[in-house]
Amino acid sequence: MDNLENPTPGQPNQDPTPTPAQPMADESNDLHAQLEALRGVVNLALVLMLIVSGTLTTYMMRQWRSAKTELEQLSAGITAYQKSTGPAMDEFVRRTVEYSRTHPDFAPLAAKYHFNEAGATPASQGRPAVPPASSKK
Amino acid sequence: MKNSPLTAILLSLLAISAVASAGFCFYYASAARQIRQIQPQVAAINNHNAAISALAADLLEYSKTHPDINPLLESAGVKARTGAAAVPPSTKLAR
Repeated sequence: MDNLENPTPGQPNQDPTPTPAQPMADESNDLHAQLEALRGVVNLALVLMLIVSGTLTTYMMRQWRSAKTELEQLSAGITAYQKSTGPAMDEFVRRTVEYSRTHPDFAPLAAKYHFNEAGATPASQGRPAVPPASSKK
Repeated sequence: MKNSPLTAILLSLLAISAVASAGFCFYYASAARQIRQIQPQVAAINNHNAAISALAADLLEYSKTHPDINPLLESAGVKARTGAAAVPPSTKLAR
């Protein structure tokens, strides 16, 4: 006698209702696909950000090199001026001032360059011993 | 869920690039600040060079009527260099 409540394992199940595991598997596959798509989008965004950041890094590196080179050149120029050019100019001005004291004909030029006022200021200290060229003539 | 190695690599590269960019920005700002600090000195040197050049030109003109100043000009290298608008040893700085 067959038991209708509990079919035997050899008999096919006539009930068409799906098991709960099947929709969960579909949902899991869908989520997995969405996750992969999201991962692709994140990777693409990271690559784009990397390109932008790399460009900025390159730009900043070039700016830094340019500023560093300029600073080295200016510092070298100032050092050379303070060591050689400036003292030579000071000596030239000093001798011109001495010349002006013994030659009255030189008085107009001495007045023009304010030799009596600026003679004490050494040019090698970074301050002009004579007025700037723009203030003359 | 397993992590993608590509994402980790990209994140690492991005972090390195960001840190490098910040470092270069800092060094650039530091160098620019130093350049700004020496600007007055550079301007004073350039002004002084221009004034000395003008003085040398006036002295050359003066020497045409007063040859006794020639030893001074020659010792400074003003007259020996050129006969015209000679300039004493002056180098104009870039800024």
